[in-house]
Amino acid sequence: MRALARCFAQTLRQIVREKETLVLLFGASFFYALFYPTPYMKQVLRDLPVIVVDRDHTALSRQITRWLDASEGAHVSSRASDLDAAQDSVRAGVAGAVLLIPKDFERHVLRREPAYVEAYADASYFLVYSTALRAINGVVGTVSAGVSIRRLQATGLTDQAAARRARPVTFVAWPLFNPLAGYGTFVVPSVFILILQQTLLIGIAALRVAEREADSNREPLWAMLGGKLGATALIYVGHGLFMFGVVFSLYGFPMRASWPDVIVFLVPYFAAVTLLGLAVAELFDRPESSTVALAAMSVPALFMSGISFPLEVQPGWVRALSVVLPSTFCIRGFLQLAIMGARFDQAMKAWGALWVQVAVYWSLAWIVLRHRERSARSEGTAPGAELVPGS
Amino acid sequence: LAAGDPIQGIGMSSVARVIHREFQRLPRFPVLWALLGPIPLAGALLLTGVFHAEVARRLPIGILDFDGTRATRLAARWVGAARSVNVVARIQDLGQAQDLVARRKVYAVLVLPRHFERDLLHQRAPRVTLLYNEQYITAGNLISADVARAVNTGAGAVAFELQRSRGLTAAAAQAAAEPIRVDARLLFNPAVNYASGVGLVLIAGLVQVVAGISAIYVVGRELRDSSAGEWLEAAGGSAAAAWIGKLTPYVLYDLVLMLVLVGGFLAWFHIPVRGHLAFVGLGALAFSLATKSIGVLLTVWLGNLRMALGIGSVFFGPAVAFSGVTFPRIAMSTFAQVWGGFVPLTRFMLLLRDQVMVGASLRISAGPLLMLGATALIAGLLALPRMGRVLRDPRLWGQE
Repeated sequence: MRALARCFAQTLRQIVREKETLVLLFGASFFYALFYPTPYMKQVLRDLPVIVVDRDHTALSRQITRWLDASEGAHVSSRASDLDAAQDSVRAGVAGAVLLIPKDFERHVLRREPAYVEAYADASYFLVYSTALRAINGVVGTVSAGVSIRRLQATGLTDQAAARRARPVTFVAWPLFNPLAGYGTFVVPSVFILILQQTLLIGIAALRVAEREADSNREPLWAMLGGKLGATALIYVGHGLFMFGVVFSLYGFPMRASWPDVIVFLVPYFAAVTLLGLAVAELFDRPESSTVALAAMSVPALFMSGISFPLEVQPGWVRALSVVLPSTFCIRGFLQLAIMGARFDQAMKAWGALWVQVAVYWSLAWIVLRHRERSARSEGTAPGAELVPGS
Repeated sequence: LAAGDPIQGIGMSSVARVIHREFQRLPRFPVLWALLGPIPLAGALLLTGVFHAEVARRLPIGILDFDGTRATRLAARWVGAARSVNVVARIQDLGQAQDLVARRKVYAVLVLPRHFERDLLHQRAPRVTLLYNEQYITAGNLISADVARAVNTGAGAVAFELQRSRGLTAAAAQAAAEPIRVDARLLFNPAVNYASGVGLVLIAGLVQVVAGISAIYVVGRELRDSSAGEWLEAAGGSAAAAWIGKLTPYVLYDLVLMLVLVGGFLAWFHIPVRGHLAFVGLGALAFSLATKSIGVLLTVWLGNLRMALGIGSVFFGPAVAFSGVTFPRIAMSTFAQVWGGFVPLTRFMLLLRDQVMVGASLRISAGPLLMLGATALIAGLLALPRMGRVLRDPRLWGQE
């Protein structure tokens, strides 16, 4: 036990002493947590510029234009007569969509003939086309429902009966957990989990390489691993509290889990990442190599977790590879607990998977470090000596 | 050779000597080798895998039928036939619905109320509710849009029959059921393909990380190893030749990497290039120069390999978020808009959108191209005062 306490204290000292590990393991998460959400502070796209090409020039076409301008998602940036020129503006990225109200539009409506408006939306940006179409469909749907109700009223029905007849089934879509479809709420929690993984992985690998070169360790292996796990857990639980407590409330992201649940859930995550970092450190000849090799990993890791493009449609081999990464399971389980308000037992699958990773990576780190220790001892040299040339 | 007069020293032979030296150094840095080759290839392969399906179909949903009549079963069949959904569970109560959603077994639950059939027949407009998981925005939006369409089509068919029963013609009945329709056309990506809509920026972002980090590494390593003197010597004492020889192979490599990865991605998903491929190549060159300049700027002023790598990862790592592809720049905070403006990826993605997806005129794409050139130039000019000194001043070497 005393060896464990010594290793724990020694790891903390080491982290503080080395400027690089201090920056990676303390500073980076802190900085990223404040920096990363800045694009998403407004959460949703509002007042997207839309061009209206009104060839009808009637009261009804003007009403649609006015209502569209007043809608949350869109604002009518200009009124044009030339459809091609309007489409060129979409092509140039100046406007997000064009709404064309054709000639004789109101006449068709009054004569009870099918009437259409045409919407051209820029689908090269998903949020642009979906916002534009939601705004246009909402306005046109409301105008259209008003027209049918007035017609039915004309046949002698009461207001209420007319409204029911116009829509024989009422459809209500009820968004759960992220009711405004806020982009920040969607992406930031998962990215925070990923940031914790990346900084810890890179930081602990750098620490391990530096330590290997210094050859200061004379403690038993289990105590050394345990001491590292304790130190990183302590620091990273702190990061977790800062990110999911302070930063979440600063930027207004929801937090539906209790703190004990969050901490209990995250502990095996930090352990798995730490052990993985200790094992992969063997691949690196210099402390900074971990940054070089692992910096490019974050984007694929985020998308393999299935938060954006659904997991269910990702091919089997991608899903098989994704189980290697602790972020895959932690993102899933954390979203369940913190955002979706699941009970802990409902997130048990993800938590269990993290513990399996802890067991696997403990064994891996053990084997790798034992091998290093032995080869160092048999050669009678410092463990750093047989490193790749150029170090 | 006059060290103070770099122009005099530029000769093809000195540049060639630096390039030659660079190739000899490369095998000594396995991590650099990994960064240039296997890492971006593996990343691109994984991303290609992630978006393999291109569009998300048949996402799991559940149906909670409180009525259990012929009408609700018909409604469930209408909804189940929608492309985005796959009905995987018949749910008994709301508790079970909560459980399935919380366990991520289903993305949505369609609730058909008690007395649905009776209310429908009596024209009392029964209410159908879709509870959908909007934390998973992609799945949630697809499912809600598709189910809304299915329910409205079903409702429209009912309204249509009602009107027909009152003796209207088919066209008039349709017009009566839904007097005004929106004919929506999706420009530039009609199938809402996620490979081009989201995947492309991730591939380009990957290349930017490789281009930026490799620039920092190859320069920072010379300073840390105190080998900058040798480097200058190989250039015959000319700082200009030293820098040109150093960076040229990597700029060309970035260009090849970008064209291979983006080209491979487009070819794999059969995404047509509607504009000028040569212009994309020109943009990729400007992108590489801009990224390299920023990498060099960071390295020469920080003078410390590790610090430059750290700051470089902060700049290049989250670049996708600031690029405006997944979340439009007009919706961003001012800070994020300004920051994103300095990120080469932001400009390059505009160019890629214009020339690959839109087929816009070159006049439109000239803007981002010039901005990339300006970024390269400004970062280069800011780095310039220090670029000669780091080669000659041993006090700037060897920092850990």
